[in-house]
Amino acid sequence: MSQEADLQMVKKVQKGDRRAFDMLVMKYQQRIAALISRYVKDSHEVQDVAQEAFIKAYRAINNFRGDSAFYTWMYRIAINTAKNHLLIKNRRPPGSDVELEDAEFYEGSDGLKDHTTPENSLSRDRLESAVYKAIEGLPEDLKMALTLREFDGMSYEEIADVMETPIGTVRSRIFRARESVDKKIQPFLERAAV
Amino acid sequence: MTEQAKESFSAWLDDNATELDVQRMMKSLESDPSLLNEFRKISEAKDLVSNSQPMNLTDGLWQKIDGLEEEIVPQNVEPSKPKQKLFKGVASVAVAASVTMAVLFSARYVAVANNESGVVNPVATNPAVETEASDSMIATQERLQKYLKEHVEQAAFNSGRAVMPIDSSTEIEVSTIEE
Repeated sequence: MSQEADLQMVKKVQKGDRRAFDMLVMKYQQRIAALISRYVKDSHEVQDVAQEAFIKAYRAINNFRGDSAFYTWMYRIAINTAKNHLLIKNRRPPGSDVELEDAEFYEGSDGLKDHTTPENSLSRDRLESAVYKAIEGLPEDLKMALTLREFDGMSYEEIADVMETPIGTVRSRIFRARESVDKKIQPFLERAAV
Repeated sequence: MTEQAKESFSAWLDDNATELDVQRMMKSLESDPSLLNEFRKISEAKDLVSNSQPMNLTDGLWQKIDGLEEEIVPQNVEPSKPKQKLFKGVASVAVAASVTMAVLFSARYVAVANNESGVVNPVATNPAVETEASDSMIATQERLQKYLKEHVEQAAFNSGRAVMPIDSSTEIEVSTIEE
């Protein structure tokens, strides 16, 4: 399901649709950044290298034929970009690469969190607290769908089995839960930005 | 439609989007580009819930890509080369045209001198001035042939493609006149 949707999106990019590439970036940015953080330790550098990897991918997008999954192709670009970054900075890349199988399931990373200053840590703690409260305040069915997805890493099918509800309902509940969390934390994020 | 598109985007982030979801998202974005910002918020909420640092790598992405493309264009395209080629082509055409004009002019001149054109030449038909006129004509003809030869030789140096057919024809014409 995912590969077909990705391929469909890539074809739109190849036809010149930039928004389609934005969609691919939003979908894979966390995974790519987490992968790069295995090579590059500084969280700001990780974001720069990840963005550079996406730029390289965009410029080479016409070479993507769909023989492999988009993420597999993107994974190779990200690894090469991270290694080049280390070589330019005169740092040695790690002896072995992150395996694709590991990278596929490697999402969040503590290395991406910015703990560089006490202010950042404090801000981070406040944000985590706000998110926790937002999740706790959700209706039970939304909270359950969201936590099974985000904390237990279940697929939509598995959640549908556990909750004895159609997949369409799971989709809808997860979306509504995210939207609700977003509305509750937006004022906090806006204050943090000021 | 917007809510459906947002739900599709949420499923897209979870690898659960169908081709119909992709169509719905892109169609909605086409009619309302500000929806991209709503998508970003959903992505941010997902990042925060999964305890990841929210990021937006689409920020500044297109400025960088466009900047790179602007840098690349001058490297790939050398504007002086086509101009040089064009100038070379125009120059060779001009040389060829001037040589052709000169050859035609001289051929006509020779034809007039030999009265090949059928037009009555008052100088050639008058026996009193015939010898004097033919002497000056031969001298003029020789000067013209010399000039043409030099011109064609110069053209050959300027353009590697130039040829010098004038050599043999010059000999023939001059010998014809002398006879």
